[in-house]
Amino acid sequence: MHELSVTQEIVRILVDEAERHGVKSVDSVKLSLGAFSTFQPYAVNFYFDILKKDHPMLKNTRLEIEVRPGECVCRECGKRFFSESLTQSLPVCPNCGSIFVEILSGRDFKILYMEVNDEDKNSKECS
Amino acid sequence: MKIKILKSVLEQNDNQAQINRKKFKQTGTLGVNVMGSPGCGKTTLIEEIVKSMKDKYRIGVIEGDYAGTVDAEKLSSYGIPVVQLDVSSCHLNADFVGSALNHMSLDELDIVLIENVGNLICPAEFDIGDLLKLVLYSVPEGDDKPIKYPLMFSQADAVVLTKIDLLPHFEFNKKKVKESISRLNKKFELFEFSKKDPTSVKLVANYLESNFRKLVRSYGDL
Repeated sequence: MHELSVTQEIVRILVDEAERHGVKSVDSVKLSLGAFSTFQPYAVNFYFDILKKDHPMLKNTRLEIEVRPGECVCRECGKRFFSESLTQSLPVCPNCGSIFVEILSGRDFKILYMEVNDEDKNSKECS
Repeated sequence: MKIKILKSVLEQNDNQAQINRKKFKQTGTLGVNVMGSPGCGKTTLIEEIVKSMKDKYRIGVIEGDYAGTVDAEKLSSYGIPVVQLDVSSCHLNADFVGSALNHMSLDELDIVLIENVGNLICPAEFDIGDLLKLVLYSVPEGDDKPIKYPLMFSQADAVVLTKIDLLPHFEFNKKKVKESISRLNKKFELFEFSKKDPTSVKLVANYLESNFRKLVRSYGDL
């Protein structure tokens, strides 16, 4: 449910960046989502398809959401472990089965880059 | 062609949260984020805190509601500044709170109680720039909530068990709750509250008072 506000934020950043770089049409956007984030890619895509209609430069944009591993440490036995895939529920310690684990990394959600067609871009410099 | 962006999706929220936090610190105002499920008693506790503290401290309230203004109307009757936010969202974000702070004279307030939207998931994800987080948790919700919503309970500065007078009617194991939260959170304080027991709000009020004094002391304004 809270994906709506993060997707609004994704759209705001993309429109901002596209305008800044003089881009008329964005082909795709690469995002990275930590394995322990509570945001669900399907919900982000669902909202994005609705929100993008308000912005001509995003009309044909696809989101590519890549899940990045997250690291945890078990508060019961101290074991450090990684999760490669999106964890829909709580991380569970593979060593002792405890659910009382501390998430060290993998809660972030970043926009990495956008792919644009060279012909659609004005001559402005890109960073 | 690739254009690098490298921005956190929550960057704007986090930046605004820092602005809000700085405002609270600069004015020596204790901004308190009051979170919990719908119906756990957030408005009731806020109302009792206001009644108990308003003669000694200058209190303001920010009401974040999904719809309606009933809570704000109720709290305004105590003659304190109340800002109602019609958030139409499952949580408050830093922008909402920032806009509410623009309608309050923080210099003239000691404590601002911010009632978040009733929800144990989303409010834990979005920093609003508060200085203290109270998580309310009512007895009828059952004693498994810290395990089901670990992020919320891991962030709490204090957990207030509300509707504690209903304890005899529910299978609610206080010891289990305390243990579960302790595994997620090393620093929380635990309070019990019932509207029917006027002394119970005093302990929460004392906790807010000591945090307010700590804040003001750290800036040497008292």
